[in-house]
Amino acid sequence: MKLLTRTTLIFLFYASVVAGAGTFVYYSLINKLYYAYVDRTLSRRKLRVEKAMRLYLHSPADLAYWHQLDHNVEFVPLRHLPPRRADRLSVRPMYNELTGKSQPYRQLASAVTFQGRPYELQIRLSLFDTQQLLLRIVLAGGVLFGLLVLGLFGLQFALNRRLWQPFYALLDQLHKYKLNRSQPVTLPETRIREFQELQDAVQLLLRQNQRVYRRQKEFTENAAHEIQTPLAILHTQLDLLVQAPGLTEEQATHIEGIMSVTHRLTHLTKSLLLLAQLDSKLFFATEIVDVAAVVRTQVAHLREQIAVRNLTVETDIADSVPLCVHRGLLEVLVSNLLVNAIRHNLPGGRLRILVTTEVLVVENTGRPESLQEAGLFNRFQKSTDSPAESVGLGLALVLQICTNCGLPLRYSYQEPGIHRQQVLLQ
Amino acid sequence: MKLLIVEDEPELAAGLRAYLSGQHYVCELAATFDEAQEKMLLYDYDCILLDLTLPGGDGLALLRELKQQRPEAGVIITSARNALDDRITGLHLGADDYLPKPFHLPELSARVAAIVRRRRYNGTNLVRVGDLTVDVAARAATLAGQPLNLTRTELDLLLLLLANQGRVISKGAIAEHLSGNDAEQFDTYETVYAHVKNLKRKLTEGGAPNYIRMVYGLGYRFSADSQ
Repeated sequence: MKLLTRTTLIFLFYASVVAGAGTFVYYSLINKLYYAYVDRTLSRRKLRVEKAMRLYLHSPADLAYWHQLDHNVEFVPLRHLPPRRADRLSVRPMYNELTGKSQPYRQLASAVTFQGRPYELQIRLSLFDTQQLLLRIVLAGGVLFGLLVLGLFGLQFALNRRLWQPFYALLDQLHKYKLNRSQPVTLPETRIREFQELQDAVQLLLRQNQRVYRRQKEFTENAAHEIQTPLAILHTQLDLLVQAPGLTEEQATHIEGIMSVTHRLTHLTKSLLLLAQLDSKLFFATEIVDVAAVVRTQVAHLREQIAVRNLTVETDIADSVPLCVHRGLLEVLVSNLLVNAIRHNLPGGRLRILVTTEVLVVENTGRPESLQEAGLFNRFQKSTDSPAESVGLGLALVLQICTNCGLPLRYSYQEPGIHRQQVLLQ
Repeated sequence: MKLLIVEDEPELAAGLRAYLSGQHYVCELAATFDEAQEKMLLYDYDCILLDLTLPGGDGLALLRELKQQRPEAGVIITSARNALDDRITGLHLGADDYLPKPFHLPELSARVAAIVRRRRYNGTNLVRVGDLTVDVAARAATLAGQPLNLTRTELDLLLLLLANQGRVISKGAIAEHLSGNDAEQFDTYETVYAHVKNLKRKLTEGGAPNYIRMVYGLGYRFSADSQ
């Protein structure tokens, strides 16, 4: 849930409660006031009726006649006077001849004596119209409340949007931010102090990160370059050394040892350089490359290695799978996947290669443990069954190339001992 | 045949000269930009090995100038710089080949041979050793007039061996020549053994002498005079 939504919801909830309760309180108050007013009116009328009873009314027939003229005044004969003579106020529904409906009336009942006989004097006032009025008044109040709440709510929403603008801008920039792109993060000016501080802190963090990253990248690149030349000399000298006449077998063994180490060193620097380049560059010139052909070529290259390990190879490769990609990178990617699947296979194991227009799958039998958990996508991570020949950069390179070329890499380990690498070619 | 080696690393330059001189090339060295510029434009070389990082200037600028003055000159760029970019730029500027450092001498020798053949024996791109003839352009080999049925890889291997006759070519150099990519390599050389074995078999079955010999465990040597 977004911050803005959350605050707005809380605000809205509170406002609704207040508005609802407010309307109710408002209604009760008006109701009370109105009843007080009605009751006062009724009391006054009672006084007038009592005065009329003393001055102008002479017989019970007059009482009935009055009631005929004014339905809201009624004299109900009583057997005897009640002990308590207080006026009773109540609300009672009564049939109204005009509307033909039962309607609520406010009634004042008072015990009176007329010519020595006890009567209950009932004076009534219809509440119907005034109730309608009251409802309208309350409704108007409610609407006003509602409008106030809505207005406030809208105002808060708009204000929040504007106030939080710098925050969202910063978030957006951070989403787009890439460490290997050296462009600085530009943020809108803000006068809010907290946001200003946040921006400053983030900027500082990013700058430091970038500096560290750049230094590391330069180091990797320079180191790799500086190593290339001594390696080149080493290669040349060794190539010359093996030409020496009268080489003994023992010397040859030593030279071979140096050669194989040199070979590994060369490969290591090549991989490191490529990784550094992949890290630092986002764009490699692409062309339309046939993935199927590349896979077939690489499989052919590795035929002997497959044969030596007695692997059963199942291939299902489409005729042609064109893909817009950097050829060199694709070759490294495919060959690394294959070499890994061969190198970490079991003797006499299986190797499955599938290429369709959607996906490249390399599946191999291997040790019963997920590569992901063993951290084999990390650089220089060597598996326990790995021979000394591996420099441990193969899968790191695969992952990095996939990232660079925008080809999602999925590793899955479903059944024990079956490792599956999938590269989605979309 | 004259080669110019433009290389500022003296050790490396000396090594290149030592190896290539043994392959019957006359080698001259240039260690700086100015020296290279002077020699390039004064003399006509069959092939120029050009290092891109030179004291005094950029090798690519040198290449540009050379291609304006002598468009027919054969050039191989050797560089330790960012291979992916320099390769494209270099080839675009008219270099014939690109060899990233570090490289193996037999590989360099094979590439020089290819360029020299292209320049010298225009069209008749034939390499002969005894009864063995390889038509490089047609990518076909014959033995005493009989066509040898070689695979593509075997032919590549044969050309590498022919360009380095009498020299020991290490297994690593052969492996790299055959796979020719930067991928993870196996330290085991099954590929090399298998291809050399097949090539030897085809040659001897065709009646050729035992040209290809293994030198201890190091590598192989092709000798025309092996009896």
